[in-house]
Amino acid sequence: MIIGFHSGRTVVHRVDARIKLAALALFSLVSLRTGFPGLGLALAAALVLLAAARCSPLHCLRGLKWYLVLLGCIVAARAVTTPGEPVVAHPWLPGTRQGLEAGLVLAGRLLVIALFGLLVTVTTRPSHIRAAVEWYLRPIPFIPQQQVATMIGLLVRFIPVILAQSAELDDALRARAIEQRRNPLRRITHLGMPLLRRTFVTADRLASAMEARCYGMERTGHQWRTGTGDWAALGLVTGFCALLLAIS
Amino acid sequence: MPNQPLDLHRLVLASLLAALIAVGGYIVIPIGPVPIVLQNLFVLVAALLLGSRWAAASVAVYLLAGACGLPVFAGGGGGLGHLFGPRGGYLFGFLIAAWVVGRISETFRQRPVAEIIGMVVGSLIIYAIGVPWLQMMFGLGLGKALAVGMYPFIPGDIVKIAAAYAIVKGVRPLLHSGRRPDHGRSQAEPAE
Repeated sequence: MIIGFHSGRTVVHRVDARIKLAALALFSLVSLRTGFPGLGLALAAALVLLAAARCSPLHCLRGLKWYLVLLGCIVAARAVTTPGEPVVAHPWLPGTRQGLEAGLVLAGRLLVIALFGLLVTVTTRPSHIRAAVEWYLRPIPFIPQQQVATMIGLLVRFIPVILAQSAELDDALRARAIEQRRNPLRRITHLGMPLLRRTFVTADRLASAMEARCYGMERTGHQWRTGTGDWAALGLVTGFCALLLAIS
Repeated sequence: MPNQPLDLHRLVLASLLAALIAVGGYIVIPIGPVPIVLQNLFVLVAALLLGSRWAAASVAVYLLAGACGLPVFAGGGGGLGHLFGPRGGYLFGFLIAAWVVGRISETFRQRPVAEIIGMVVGSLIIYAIGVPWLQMMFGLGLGKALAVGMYPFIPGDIVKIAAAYAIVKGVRPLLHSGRRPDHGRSQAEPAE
């Protein structure tokens, strides 16, 4: 399952996308220095904000299930490899207390950052994220920020196109009894090659269509409206990060 | 057509390949901390189809989109946590590998042997960055990091290199930007 934007009119949805991205970056940096109390607080804040954005935290955790497996591996690997006093005196369970703590802190940081990232993705329109990226790239020299923004916009729109074409081709192949083929390699080539040829031709036609319509880099920019709510959100996030730094 | 400074065909193609890298990451076969994904296959395809500059741009846009929190990383994740997480080394490795493979393909004018050697070099670059990163994250020894972060993927990589070569062979003639300008007119375009 892939989590994308969910439209809504909650407080979290209404915050300026630039502030959300800045908050995410700030938070990612601060979380590198937090310990257990800070992480607990941050986890609680992430879950409360997800609930405030009308996105069930349980649903989000299910979306991150492979990531959770990975985090479990980190904890296990750290517990086994870090030297220290053993948690349980048993030859089959070689984990140490120090290793377990280090692993839990690392996994907790990654989980909290992933949850905040998810919060931004769920509550921000891709077009707003694109505009915010463009806004942030503007002062950096030698980076064609509008080209980058166009590419991000196209990337976001190509993903569902590829998935839809793949589903369509899969149906067509099933109608032609592809399931009778025993060789899995055959089945993959029968699906993969036409799919790729089709998506590449679609992209090439799209480029021709854009060219025919004189698509250039002189675009009308996104109209930003930053209200007091946005500044309050920025202040809150900064205060929260300062608090996290203070208690760790 | 007037001189257009912007190469729209390459721009759109680079975006498509970035999207394919993302879709390649959705098909996850979890075998441990680093799952088997099709991302590196499309990184190699991007490098051969687009050349060094645009391939690196394509991967950079993919990483940027992921860093901004769009769900493009393996398993549908996104955010800085993934980018600097245990698999981050592979993601940055993609960027360098795309540039190097593209560069090799350009230097040797798309000769088949050079392209295949280039892809082998590219795959090794991905591991050269990904495995030490993984080692640092998990606190493992080099031998163990190689055992979870490289050895299980080598058979898959050989298949992926073969597949990437087949894809590029199949797709290159279809593309507008892949043709040489002097003999690349389609029937729909009248001779000027």
